[in-house]
Amino acid sequence: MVLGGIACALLLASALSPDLFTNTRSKAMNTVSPLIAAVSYPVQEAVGYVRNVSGLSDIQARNAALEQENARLREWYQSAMVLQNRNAALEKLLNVKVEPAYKFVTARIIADAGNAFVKSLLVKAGTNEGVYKGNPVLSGDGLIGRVVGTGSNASRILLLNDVNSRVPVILEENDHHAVLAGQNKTRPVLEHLSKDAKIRDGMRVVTSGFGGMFPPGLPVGKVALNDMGQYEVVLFSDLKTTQYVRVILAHQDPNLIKGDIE
Amino acid sequence: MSTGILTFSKKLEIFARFCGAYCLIAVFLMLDMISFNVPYFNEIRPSFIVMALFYWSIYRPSMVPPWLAFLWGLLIDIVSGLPLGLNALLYVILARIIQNQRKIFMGQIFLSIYIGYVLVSAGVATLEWVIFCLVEFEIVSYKPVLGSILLGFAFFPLAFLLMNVTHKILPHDASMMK
Repeated sequence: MVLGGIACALLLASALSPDLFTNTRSKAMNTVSPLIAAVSYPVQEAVGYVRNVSGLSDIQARNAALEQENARLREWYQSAMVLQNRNAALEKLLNVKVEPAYKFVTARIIADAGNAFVKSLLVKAGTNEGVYKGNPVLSGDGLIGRVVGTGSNASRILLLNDVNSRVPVILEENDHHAVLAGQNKTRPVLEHLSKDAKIRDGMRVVTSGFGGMFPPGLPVGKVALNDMGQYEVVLFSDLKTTQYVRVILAHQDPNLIKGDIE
Repeated sequence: MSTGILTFSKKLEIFARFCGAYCLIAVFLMLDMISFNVPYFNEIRPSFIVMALFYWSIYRPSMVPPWLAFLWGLLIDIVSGLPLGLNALLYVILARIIQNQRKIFMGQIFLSIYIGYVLVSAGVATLEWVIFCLVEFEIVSYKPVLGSILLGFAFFPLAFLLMNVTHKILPHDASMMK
């Protein structure tokens, strides 16, 4: 009875004030994360080995596709270099305030708390590596979420498709703003689109930078219309086979003037 | 029932046997927390610790006292990011109910135990879904929960076999550990 009462009290407190136990969670996460990391590493390696061995028949086709993509990307590289130089010259000419380059820290996923209710990850990087609550997190191809809890050597990432995730985004083609809302399904949906927004399948979605939580321009995914008439976003990132993520560290914007009050 | 003073080596042997059983439970706990990198598996991962709670609450309740079930639930909540106290409450209730009703399951064939597990695990998972929806003020999809329940049905026979093996090596009289 006593334990049941304590559990009910904890649950009620978590429901009414989700941030109440943040410090406790961080400390507990810190304590168990080395053990989880140690246990998960051989399991992940074994799964990766099995996947590689069983996928031998697909390797040749994948290799050919990658060679074609590489050739196409080499052409784009040259165009990108020309555009980059031209962009830098124009920015200098117009005295544009340039966004500072971001610093990253790469972290390994040690626990996937992606159960039926919560879409989150535990990664092996914390405040010791400069990771703090609110830092955006990317996989190889795009944004996957943000840091919602940190310990000294582990952090929790809330994924974009979690029901509690809300990210301000923009459609690159026409600059329409929206909010990317997770639904605990594979694809989050776009909410708060303006009624006159002209949207088509395949439009790129990037972060808008509104609210200051995420830097602008981070790739998120592509628009797709689902059966219910909602605009979903097919995320660029594929966490099914990802073992490492990149956490964007907080940076000092040199364009900001230091105030008297800290 | 054996009587007499236990030698040091005998005590050590009994301790090692109990360690083996608890190590298996620890493995189940780890399976509930680590990342497998298998597509979609993490979403519909069955709860191995519920299997352990169910089994040991029937056959050896002293292995899973309510305070231990509470701690396991709390650990799962902390690692997985669920509202604190959710699984702690469910596991305490589960352990208490099964331990009170264990006479129904004692001496039954595996099929009866399996049907009992099916009902219990479905009930626990569904209750977890209901409480989560209430706490979050949002109805989340039940499909992953259903997938988790069905996968649990598939894994339970293997888990039962493993726990049965560790149970057989435990001493028959728990008071021998004192």
